[in-house]
Amino acid sequence: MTKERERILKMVAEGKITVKEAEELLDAIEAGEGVKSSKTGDYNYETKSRKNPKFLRVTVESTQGDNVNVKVPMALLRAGIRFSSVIPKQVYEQVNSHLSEQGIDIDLNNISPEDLNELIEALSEMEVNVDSQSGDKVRVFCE
Amino acid sequence: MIPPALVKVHIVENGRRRINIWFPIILLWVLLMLISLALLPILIFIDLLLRARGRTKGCLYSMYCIFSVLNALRGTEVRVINKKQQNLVDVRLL
Repeated sequence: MTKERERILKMVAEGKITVKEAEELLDAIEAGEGVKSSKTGDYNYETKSRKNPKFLRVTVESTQGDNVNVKVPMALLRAGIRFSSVIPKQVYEQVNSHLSEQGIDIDLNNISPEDLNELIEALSEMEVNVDSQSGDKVRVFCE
Repeated sequence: MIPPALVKVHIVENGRRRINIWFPIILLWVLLMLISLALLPILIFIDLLLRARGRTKGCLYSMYCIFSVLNALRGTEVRVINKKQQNLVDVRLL
């Protein structure tokens, strides 16, 4: 249960809002959350309808007390893609050869900036939640 | 788009505050702008040479890309906490 839902239910219990008002608020939250697409094991992929997200957030919470919180502006990703178009072809070939040495057969010449832009747009509609058995949590989402 | 004006670096080691800096990065941008303006005639010349050789994206486009990356940095945050050893590294571009 999310914090918002808990807060709404608490407000109902305290008599601050009516049940009807609570229903409306919960509907508004559900509309914001979108539709859960699938749940597979520990991995939970959700699609959310966010318009023009500004940041890509990566959060890691480990049971050992290590927390990592990274917030990257989406504009930086787009600017990075624009920047990649000035990289000489020779560099791409070197990266390709190093990748293939590592067993990754990806030809970077085939990835156009338009493809990457599409990827970023798709990223804004995706949320990745990983909950490990040891209690570690990884969240990747846009906001 | 407005580039980040401040960099906040906060480092705590073993529960003790080691570094807490607010650096006005805007000063660097001003310096960078002045250097870029000074180099502009040379860059335009190189760009024209490159265009004559058939390369469409030259120095000016590269400069534009660099500036757009710098502009897009605003809002970047990296925060790493180790609760057991009470360590914290917090870097924010505001």
